[in-house]
Amino acid sequence: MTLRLLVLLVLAGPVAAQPWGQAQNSVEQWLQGHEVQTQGLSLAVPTWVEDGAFVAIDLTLRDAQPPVSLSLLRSGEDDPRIATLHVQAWEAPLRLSTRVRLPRSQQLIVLARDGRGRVWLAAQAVEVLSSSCLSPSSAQPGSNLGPLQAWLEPHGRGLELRSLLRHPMETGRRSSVDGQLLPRHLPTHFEVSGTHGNLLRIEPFEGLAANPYWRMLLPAGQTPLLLCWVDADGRAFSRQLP
Amino acid sequence: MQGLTRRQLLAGAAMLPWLLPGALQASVGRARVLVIGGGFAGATAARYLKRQAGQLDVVLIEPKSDFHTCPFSNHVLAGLRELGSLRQDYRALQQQQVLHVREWAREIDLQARQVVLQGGQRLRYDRVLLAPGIDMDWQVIEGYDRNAASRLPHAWQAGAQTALLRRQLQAMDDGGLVIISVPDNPYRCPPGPYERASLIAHYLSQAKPRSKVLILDSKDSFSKQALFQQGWQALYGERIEWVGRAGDGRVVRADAGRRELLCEFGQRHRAAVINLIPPQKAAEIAARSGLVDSSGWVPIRPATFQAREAGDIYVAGDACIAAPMPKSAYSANAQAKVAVAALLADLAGQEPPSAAWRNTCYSALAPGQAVSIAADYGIQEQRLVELPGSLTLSPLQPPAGLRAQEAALADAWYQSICMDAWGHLA
Ligand SMILES: Cc1cc2nc3c(=O)[nH]c(=O)nc-3n(C[C@H](O)[C@H](O)[C@H](O)COP(=O)(O)OP(=O)(O)OC[C@H]3O[C@@H](n4cnc5c(N)ncnc54)[C@H](O)[C@@H]3O)c2cc1C
Repeated sequence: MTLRLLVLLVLAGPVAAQPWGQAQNSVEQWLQGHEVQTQGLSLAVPTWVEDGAFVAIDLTLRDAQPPVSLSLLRSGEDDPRIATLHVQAWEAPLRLSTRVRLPRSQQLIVLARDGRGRVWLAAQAVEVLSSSCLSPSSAQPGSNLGPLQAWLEPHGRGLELRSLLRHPMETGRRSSVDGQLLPRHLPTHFEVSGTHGNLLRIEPFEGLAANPYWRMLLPAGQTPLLLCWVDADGRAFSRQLP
Repeated sequence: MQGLTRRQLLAGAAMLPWLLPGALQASVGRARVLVIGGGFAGATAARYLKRQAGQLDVVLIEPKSDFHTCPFSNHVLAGLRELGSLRQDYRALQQQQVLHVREWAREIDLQARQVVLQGGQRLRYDRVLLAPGIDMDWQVIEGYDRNAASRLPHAWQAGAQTALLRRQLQAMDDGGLVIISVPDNPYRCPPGPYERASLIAHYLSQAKPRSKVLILDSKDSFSKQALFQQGWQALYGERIEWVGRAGDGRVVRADAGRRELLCEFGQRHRAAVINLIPPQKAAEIAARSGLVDSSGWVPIRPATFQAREAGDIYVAGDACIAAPMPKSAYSANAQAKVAVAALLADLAGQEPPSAAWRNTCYSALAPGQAVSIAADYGIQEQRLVELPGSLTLSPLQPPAGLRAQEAALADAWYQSICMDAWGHLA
């Protein structure tokens, strides 16, 4: 059985020649020569949303060996990338939440690879029933940046970290109220480090929702944590917790 | 009704078209249709079912004898209207031979084709029109349950909760802080919380000039945001402050005893009055009848408003997933008519008439000043869509008199829609 057929059978999703649309190349590259694990990675995302600008997703990866790399993709955009993550440590199972941007109905795809070289794939179609009644009809330029909000609290034996940076995540494809194209403005990366070094590094792309939000479960004994977002111009937004 | 010209009233009525062709005044037999819920969607449905097919056996199951509308309940909070002026009843419907059963429906037994009432009685049906509106989702905000709502009212179903919030505002000392906490989408009436902030600020400016309104929002942006924020600045200066999710506006925990809220990133707020509008879902009967999806709302077939999983059940109003139409009374009324038309066509063995919808949401910025957003909707590839280019929004720089004109239109709309839903006594 070919790899692609296997993936299709595993997912039992809508079968098409290029099931991953504009993310096809990225998915193929990621999976190259690997057998896709059938269990362990799950993606929780609403099957429909009213506002595609902020789609909340939760993902869980069980029984993975550190370090884990993850790629979040969407199938219906010219630039399918949402974010790439490198995770060194977590309170098992690995749990992450964020918000993604889906301008129209499409597939959301998560790829994972762990320290033993095993790969996972999970995907779900999301229907975007966008209503202009809900949000501003045209983009308003992100007037201010920061602060970096963050909060840490005990969760089971580990720690729950929630963070959000006020940032427009401007793609360079949207127009302002007066019809001007808004210049592209994306941060370069987000890092979380603990007492034993780097825990997580995230590179954001166009598909990550404005005001990037991340929630994750970290092992205890890593505090104080240092969080740092770095913007395109090198400006850093940092927080230490607790 | 004051200050409305005949022209404005007609304009109000014209906003509520009835789309079923006369030809379908059909031979639908003496089928029995149970309408569950007598709000905007249910009352409209009961009235139009009977009006269109007089021989139908139409039963309205609704525990209340008096219904208070949410539209214009923000005016009550500001002391601009009496709660009693929002009251509707079912006498005109009864006069029209709709049987009003004053009970809660517990669940729909799809297999037996019966609706089970709270008291255990079972009513047989040929079709059901389910229009139960919303319930609060008490599971999301820690510490916020029915009891807590008697201290921190949501006032998102009108009536006793509206009166409670009004009393709290009146009793508050000058200088007290009023917090309005707003949930994430989807919820009933997207611009409603911001209209509420506007009218409460108006009340405070008159009665408690040192008091302020703080909006803690779970969202990053909101309906008619630019219009509201411009209006607030012009009318109320610094009296209204909006904190979105990026500013730590999402409430995760409530302490009703201390009147204190905890937000997602650790900020705490205490206030003299807290209006906590929690996340919502379809009213409980929908889940108990197995009709909701994982979102807690009822998926439908958009051309007919039949429940996706049960063709004999039609669902209209806030309980169903009709996005991109907002959860509004305007939409509920329009959807009920589409559902009735499809239901009658089905009983008569005909194809459902094709449907088209419009929604307009008016929001008051102050007494006599309103803004609106409107759009048309239709079916494309079996999906409900907002028709491209149909969106209209009040301008940020209005010509003289426009805000006042829109406020008069909002009044006219309200009068018309209430008459369209509950009818009037002969
Ligand atoms: C503050 C505020 C302001 C608003 N302003 C506007 C506005 O200006 N314009 C606008 O278009 N919309 C407005 N809305 C929205 C509007 O109120 C709702 O969208 C509308 O009420 C939805 O109608 P519905 O029939 O689905 O539900 P409802 O009107 O809530 O009616 C549901 C009915 O079902 C009954 N019911 C529930 N469960 C059962 C059961 N198991 N058995 C029997 N009966 C049951 C309930 O008692 C209730 O009477 C506003 C809402 C709020 C909160």
